[in-house]
Order: sequence, then C-alpha cells, then structure tokens
Amino acid sequence: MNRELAARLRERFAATDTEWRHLEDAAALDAWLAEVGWPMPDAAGTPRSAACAAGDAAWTVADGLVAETGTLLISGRRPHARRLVFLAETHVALAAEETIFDTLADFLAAPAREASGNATTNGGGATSADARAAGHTDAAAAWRARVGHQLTLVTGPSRTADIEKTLVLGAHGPRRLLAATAPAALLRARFGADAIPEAGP
Amino acid sequence: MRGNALAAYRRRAARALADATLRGNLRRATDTALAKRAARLAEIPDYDDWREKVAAIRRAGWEDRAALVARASAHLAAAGARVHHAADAAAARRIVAEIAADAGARLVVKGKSMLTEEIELTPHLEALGLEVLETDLGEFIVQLRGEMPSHITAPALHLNRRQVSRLFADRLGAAETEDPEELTLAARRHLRDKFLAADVGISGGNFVVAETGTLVTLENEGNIGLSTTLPRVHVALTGIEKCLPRLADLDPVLRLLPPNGTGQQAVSYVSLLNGPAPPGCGPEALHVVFVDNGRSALAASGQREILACLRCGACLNVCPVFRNAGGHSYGAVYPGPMGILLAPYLLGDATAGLNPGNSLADVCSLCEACGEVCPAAIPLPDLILGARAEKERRAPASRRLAWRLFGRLAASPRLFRAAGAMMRMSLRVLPAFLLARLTPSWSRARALPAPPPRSFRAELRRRHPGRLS
Repeated sequence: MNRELAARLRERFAATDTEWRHLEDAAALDAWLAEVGWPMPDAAGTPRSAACAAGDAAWTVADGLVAETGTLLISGRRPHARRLVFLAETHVALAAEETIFDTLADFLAAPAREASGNATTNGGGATSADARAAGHTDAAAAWRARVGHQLTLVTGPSRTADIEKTLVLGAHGPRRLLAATAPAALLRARFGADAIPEAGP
Repeated sequence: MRGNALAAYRRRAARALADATLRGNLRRATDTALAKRAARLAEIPDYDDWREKVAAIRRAGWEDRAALVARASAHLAAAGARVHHAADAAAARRIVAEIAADAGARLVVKGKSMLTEEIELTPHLEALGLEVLETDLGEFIVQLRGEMPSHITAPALHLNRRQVSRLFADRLGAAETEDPEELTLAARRHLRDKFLAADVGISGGNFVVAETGTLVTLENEGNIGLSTTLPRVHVALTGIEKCLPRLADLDPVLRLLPPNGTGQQAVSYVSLLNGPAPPGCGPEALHVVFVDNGRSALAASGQREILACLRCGACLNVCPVFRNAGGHSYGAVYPGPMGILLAPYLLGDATAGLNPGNSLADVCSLCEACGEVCPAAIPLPDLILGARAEKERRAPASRRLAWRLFGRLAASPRLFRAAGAMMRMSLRVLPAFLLARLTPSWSRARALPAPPPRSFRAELRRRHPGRLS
C-alpha cells in the first residue's frame, strides 16, 4: 500500500472511530487474527454465525472499501453477513487491499464480475440468465450478480447523538469497529479462493 | 377545516416561548447541528456542483414518479419482494395491518420513518392489539413521553439529559444519570430483547433505486439494521416521489444528505436491499409499500418543488421561527419550512387540521435562510410565498374583499394619501388603551411607535424640493 493511500485511510478511519490496521504479510495477518480472536483461521468462507448470536464479536470479509469515507462494503455474497454487521458488540472486518475504491461512485461503476456459483446459490442473488428471463435490465442483473440480495455500507461503529447532540458509540449495534486491510493473495491463501472478490477498481 | 391553524400555532408557540428550558434545549441543539454542518460543508470541494446534481436527481424523482415507481416495483417483484401501492394513509395502514395479521404478529419493532408518522401507523397497529416499539433512541424517548417527534432527524431535540433521565427512571426503572452514554445503554438493554422477539420489522425508505429495484435506508444507530434482519417479516414504506433513477445517483445523494442532516461525512450504516434475504439469513418476506397520500395533489399544486425534499432537517435548524418556538408548535410531524409546505397536503385535515387554505405559511419570517441551506436547492422561500398566496385565494369572501379594497386604496395615490393622513391622526388622538385593543398582536410585547408628523412623500418633498413631482 502506498504511503499516500495509507495516510488517507488512517485519517478517515480515525475520524469515524474505526480501529484500522494494514497487514503486509502472513506474520502480520496471523498476529492480528490471534489478537482479535478470529474464529476459524484455517477454514474457508463464512464466519460462524452461531458464535456471534450469543457472542461479543462478529467477523466479516468485506467486498471492498471506499477510501474517501472509510466505508466497508459488506454484501450478500456471504448471506449471513448483514446480520453480523449489526448484532455483535464488536465488528471485525477484513478487506483486500486490491478492493479499495476511491469513491462510492467508483465502486458502483466498477464492471460486473461473473458471479461464482457459490455466490449465486448462497447469496440469494438471481443469476444473470434468471434475471434477464424475468425482464431485468442488464444493469439490475449485473448489480444483483455482484452483491446478491443486499449491500450494507458500514462507516464506523453504531452511534447516536439523540440526547443533547452528544455523541455516544454503540447505540444498538457494535460499539467497536475493527478493520484490517491486506493483500488479496494473502487473504485468499488464508481463507480460500472464493472468500475475496476478484475485481478491484 | 378544524379551526384556525395559525391561531392554534400562536397558542402553542406562546407556551413554547415562555418555557426557558425548552428554548435553551432548542438553541443548544440547533446551534450544534449548524456548526457541524458548516464544518462538513467546508470539506466538500465543488459543493455547489454536487447540489445541482442532487437537485436534478430529486426533480426527476418526483417528475417521473410513475415510471420510476413502476420500474423499481418490477425489479423488486422479480427478486421476490411483495410490492404494494397505497393511495392514501388509510390504505397504507390497512396494507401494513394485513401483513402483520398474516404473519400472526404480536410484537412489531420500528426504525425511524417520517412516513409512518405521517400516516399515524403506530396508533393504528396498537388499536389492533399489537405491541409497536420505536427503536431509534430519539423516537423511543418521544414514544415513552406520548409525544410526536419535534424534529425530523432529531426527534427528541427539545429535551435535555435530565428530562430523559427522569423519563427512563420512571418508565424503565433505570438509575438516574446525567451521562448520555448510560442513558443510551439503558435504552439499548431494554430494546435488544425486543429486536430478537419481534415478528415484524417496519422501516421507511430514504430512497428506492429504480434502475435496480434497491431499497435504501440511512441510519447511525443500527436499529434499522436489526429491525430489518431479525424479524420474520420486513415492511418498508416509502413515498412515491422517493425514487432515484440510476444506481450511480446514490453517490451524489449520499455525499450531501449526511452533512446536511447530521453533520457527518457519512452515516454509520447505509443499507441497499435488492430483495428478501435467502432462506435462514434474514426476514423471509420483504414488503415495499409505495405511498401517495397527497403527493399527487401536491405535484399538481404551485408548491410541487417541495417533493424534492431529502428530509435532512437543515431548514429546521436554520429557521429562526423553529429555533425559537420549536417543532411541537406546528402541531404537525412535518415542522419548519419544509413542513409548512408538506403538511397541508400530506397530513391534511384529518390528522393536523391543515389544508392549503388553512396552512402555516404566515408563520414564516421570510428571512430566506432555508432556501440557502437546502441541499436539493429547493426554492423554499418562493414556495412559502406561493403558499401564502394560495391561502389568500382560498380565504373567506370577507377577507378577499378586504384585500381587494386595500388593493384599490394602494393603487390610488389620492386615496392612499388620505388614508395615511387619517392613520397618523388616529395614532395621535386615540387613547393608548384603545390603540392597544385595536392592534393586539403588535401591542402585546411592544409599544406602538409615535406617529410621524407627515408622510414619507411629504418629508421627502420638504428635504429635497423638486425631487418628487
């Protein structure tokens, strides 16, 4: 990661109360996973949701990250992810360095990636063919193929200022948001080829 | 018409103005909101260009509403969502009540939605025996107090921490504290189990992307996220004017709404829902209700441009009338400049005793600050003047006659001079108590000025002979 981007991310994440770390190599990734208590460092794919319903932390893999706002993009490619974003006391998210977009517009305009079989069957998104048969435009079909049934934009932990405009973190959702970025190759090696989206900006 | 709306406003405003606690709360909260907004706007290069983009997007949203709602509905339906169309508040309430009955619901959790306030959804569902809980902290507070929200983005803006502390102690059995964090935690603890136990979750919809059939909600607390992922059924209600034509329109709109609404660059959670969740991963059913409820009538009126409103609340925070007399004085869930224009059409006679002939357009001081801050560049001051004219056109015959006579008098120099002379003489000769009786709204807080010895024209002629013919 170049120094300018790192500085930008550091500034944005600090402004939104997100605890961010960039992990350059396997040793750094392993140390961080141990530190945050990642539940299944050797398994591929979806984090265990059962652990999260009762537990204190939820772990997600983001589809991307918007540098301008320090926003994590959590899609329906992992069907349980949306619940996890809101349920736990602490939300821990990983994103591939290659999926950092400058602005939300860049993410929205990025070319559609062919949905993998896994994403369409588990992600609830219609396949392109289904979508066209149902009269969808290509734009709608491509969007669903990319994100499944939903996309949640997460910028910082849950917060409120409803009492005297005083900021309080952890209103109903997570009190803490931990985010880490790492090279996609590192994440694929650790979590499986399918865990990390292939297309970047 | 249910009484004179302006007279009712003045009664409520008089009480509000005499309440020092309320005025302090209002002043602190709106000052903070404006300062945060200014700080964020200063960070946005080319703000005016973005504002023009947002204005064009929102204009398309209400101008092309029929086509956009149809497109969004088709995509949502194809993805497995159930789409409903409600012509008015009663139809919308009936649709939601039927969905809740079909789900065998007993407990309903709600995210903050001004549309559900507009159609008075909660009292309707409660009358049917459902337990309905507001989960946004501010809405939860005003629901416990049995009040309506006093601000569209900060419902409990009119209260301070001591008032919230007493409320939570009385109603939740919480320990008294003046720490907003402790108070927030008390609400969180109380509501967490409700989210897990609820059968139906209700949300609004800030926007719906027509191109993809994507329901968009913005929030900071996570209560909308919980309300729309944990219950078996999710019902979202949105206005027919709220569609964004293209997915790409999200970028400019999400750039300007949070800075203007809450003084943030981005809100904590923006949810883009394309359809129901896969089995076992969220609500089994997603219902989207598009509500008209006066919007088509508003689109046919001279105030139609207010349909571009993003519901950010900036015009409330900057309005000197709102800042002093507060939101509850309007007697309507849409207060302030945007509310003056929306309420007569969307709330109407039944809920607020308002209509275009009995609006609160006269409450405006014509300072034009609302027009400057509006992120959708809505010409609010012009629209409010239009609403005043509309009101006069619908005024009783006696009032219209009085205006016609004044028009005649003002158009004739001879009559105008004579009337001026008569007024100056009356001010000199009539006793003070009688003058005060004749000008009650002026004299309540001020003395009448001494009458000038001569008219302005006479004074000008005296000082600059030959200037006037």
